[in-house]
Amino acid sequence: MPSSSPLRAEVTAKNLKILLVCSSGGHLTQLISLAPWWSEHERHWVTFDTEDAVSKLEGERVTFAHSPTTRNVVNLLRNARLALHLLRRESPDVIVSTGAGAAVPFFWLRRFAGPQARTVYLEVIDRVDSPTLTGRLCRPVTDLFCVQWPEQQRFYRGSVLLGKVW
Amino acid sequence: MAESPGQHAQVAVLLGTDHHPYDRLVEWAATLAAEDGQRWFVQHGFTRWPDVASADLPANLTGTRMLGVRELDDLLAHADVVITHGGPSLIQEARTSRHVPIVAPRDPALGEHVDGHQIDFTARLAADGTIRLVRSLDDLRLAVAATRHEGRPTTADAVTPDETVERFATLVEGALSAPRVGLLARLALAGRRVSPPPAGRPARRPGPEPPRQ
Repeated sequence: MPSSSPLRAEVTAKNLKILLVCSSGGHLTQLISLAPWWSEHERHWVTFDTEDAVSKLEGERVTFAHSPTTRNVVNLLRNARLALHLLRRESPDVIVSTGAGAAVPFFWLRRFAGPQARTVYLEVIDRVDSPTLTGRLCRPVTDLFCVQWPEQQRFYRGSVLLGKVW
Repeated sequence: MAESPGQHAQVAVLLGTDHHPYDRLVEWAATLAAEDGQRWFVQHGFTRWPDVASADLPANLTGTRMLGVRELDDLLAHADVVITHGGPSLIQEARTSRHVPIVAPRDPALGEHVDGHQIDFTARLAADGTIRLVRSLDDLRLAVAATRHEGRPTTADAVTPDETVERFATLVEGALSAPRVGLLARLALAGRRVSPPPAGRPARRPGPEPPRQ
């Protein structure tokens, strides 16, 4: 866990149930950078069973998704089944992802989390000049789409420039 | 706990979790380790090791596939020089541990990644001095020497700015309280949107040309 200063009290007025979904590696590091936000809420993680994820998420509630997800229909179906199960069980208020592939079934099946569940996508920092496949696949079912570079905004209609999360 | 791998390394080479092989950087590390005689440590990830460096690896070069987060922190805390591929995670972690990392982006032409995004991304970071960008063994040799000469920065450069996280929290709150736009409504809106016709095709709808700026 990165060292991070605690959020100010006014931001954490309401305790949320968050489902954090991402691939391991860089995608996970980016989502962990938002620790001052998510650490104030109830949360459940979905990522891959790799060394980096296991050690970074020690002490967190984690479900491992099936990988690889790139051009892998079998794992997409397995992860869709997992998404159905977890969305029903956890019924999160908000589903947050930094990509990649694993996010897609969770975003598209978000209805199973309940009618009020919102989806939030944060585009990765290292694709400056091109959209990501996962970003494009998730955009139609994303309520809040954040980017880290101004150039990324042109790929995603209605996206918000958040700035760099490092 | 036993001594962690790479604990006494002076130079850390970190290849990350990408599944493409990156033999080139491991070979460069072997060459430079043999030249300078310092203690080098390589987290080689999915790149083959140690047979990749063919013949005999110098004794001062050791490595492991992947370090746990504490071992990595330990290595970053003690090393004088950090060399990585162009992955944002390792660059961020190096900067958080007070390094200006030397970065050799993976080249898709050599089968080191799916595309050239590490090259584009690291060019950005090099332009604002976040990293030292290298593209060859000679670049790397010079960058290692310069990094040793200048020493580590006195302050960490990579913690998520509080304002960014607060803005994110505010944006999420806004999204939670806004009425949700369903997929069908969203697609309908998108369909109604007036967008310029694709290049090379005339607009389907006849009518006067819109004023051009």
